[in-house]
Amino acid sequence: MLDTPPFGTTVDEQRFELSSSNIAMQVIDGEAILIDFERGHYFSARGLGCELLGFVALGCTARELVEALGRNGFESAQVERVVSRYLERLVGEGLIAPSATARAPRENAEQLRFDSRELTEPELVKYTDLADLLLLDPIHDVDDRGWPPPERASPVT
Amino acid sequence: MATRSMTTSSTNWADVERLRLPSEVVLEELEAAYEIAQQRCGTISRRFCIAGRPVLLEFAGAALASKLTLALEHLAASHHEAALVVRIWDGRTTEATPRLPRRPSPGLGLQRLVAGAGSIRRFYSEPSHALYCFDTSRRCAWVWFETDELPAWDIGAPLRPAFAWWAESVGAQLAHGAVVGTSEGAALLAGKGGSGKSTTALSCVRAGLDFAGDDYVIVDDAAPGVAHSLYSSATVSHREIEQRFPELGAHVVRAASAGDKRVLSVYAAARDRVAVRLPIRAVVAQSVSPTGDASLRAASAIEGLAALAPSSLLQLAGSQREGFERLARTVRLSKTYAFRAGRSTERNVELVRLMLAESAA
Repeated sequence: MLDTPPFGTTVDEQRFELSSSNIAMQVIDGEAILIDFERGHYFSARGLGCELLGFVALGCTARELVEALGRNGFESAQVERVVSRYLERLVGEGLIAPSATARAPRENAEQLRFDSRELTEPELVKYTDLADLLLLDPIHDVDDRGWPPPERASPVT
Repeated sequence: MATRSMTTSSTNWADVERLRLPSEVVLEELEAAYEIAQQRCGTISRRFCIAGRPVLLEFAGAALASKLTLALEHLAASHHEAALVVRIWDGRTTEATPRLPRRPSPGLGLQRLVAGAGSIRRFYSEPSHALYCFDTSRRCAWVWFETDELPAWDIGAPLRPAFAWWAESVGAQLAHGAVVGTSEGAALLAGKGGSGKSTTALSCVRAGLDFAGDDYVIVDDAAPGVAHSLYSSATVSHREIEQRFPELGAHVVRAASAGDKRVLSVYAAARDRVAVRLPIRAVVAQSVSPTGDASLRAASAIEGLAALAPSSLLQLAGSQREGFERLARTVRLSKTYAFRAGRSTERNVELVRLMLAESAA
């Protein structure tokens, strides 16, 4: 969950970015896949979920997302609920994080268009079946602090 | 460095600070130990052409040379230059052990990276008792094994971390999957362990299709859509060999700690069927049919990428974002299918042939 809700006096102008170098996303034919290399999880999103992810990655604020979806004729309170919940889910899963340095989309926000014609709960499917690979056969890139990082290392007696 | 003596038991195992040794120190220790091993036991050089590039494996002593090159025999070459040099030795027969910590602290899982950043990467494999170090700037790797008794995975897919790091450094990526087909087009069978990739691949070889790999192939920015063969081995269970491929029993390779898995030399069993490279036309998300009946359907590109990328990237070192893009590019250039392998190997092969015909059209 977000420490502060995505909508309010300041957060609705918040931009986001993929959380860290541990998260990577690919979009093909209107579907997205994200891999969390830290936890070994991966996610898929289609339809509105994929579109929202794409616009978030482009640097759209929550307000811009709501306004763009509103142009498809959806009721604004419902749009806010849907977008807010989805952003909370993405942040909660560690996929995106608020960013002070994320750039605004190149395209004017007023020109953003969603293809989705139905306002359904955006899809984000989480897969954890490969997480064991990190325990069984991992090769991580870490710095010379070693692995796990000191803050996560168990005390050694 | 080379003049100091090396011992076989100099490590203070309880010292967690060993995890934080600078990579340069690890590299120096490995280089020094290799030099001593080389002086004591001599050098055996083996040359290969991997993903179109010359690779030199140098062994200090003879103990590991045949074991670690068995899966690479089909790529043997005779050039003089080298785009990658890997220096390999074992502590038992050479008595040259790097004075380095070898194990991460307890409770961290079976395998963990010791450290690795910048131009020098290093990795300790607990199950293999092996330490890898790769200097990207020199395109040179050092690999020390504690003993010359190697487990099945090191014989079936030797030196994988070194090849993965090197591949990344030249704009390529190891892809986790089996590749079978013809020079006109091949299927990359992707899926997690136990999804039947090896059984399907061996069935296809028996039916006359070419084979570029059972577990890992290389995809390369320089030749998009092509699978470069890396290993000409296959790893299948003892039971599978007995029940489905008894004719391959003679080609099982001896290995320590093999468990239920056996390594087969496909090159020894069907030399003419082993291809150095094949053009990928289909990326296949493979699983085992719960009913025993094989089935096939067109799948979205993301289904194919989901079957291929996480298991490829989570198991291997490298720049994961770039690797992800390389695998996505491979998927974009191919048709994608979801294939459930059934009990009938003949039917499975039929469906692979169907995919190849469709995807070539």
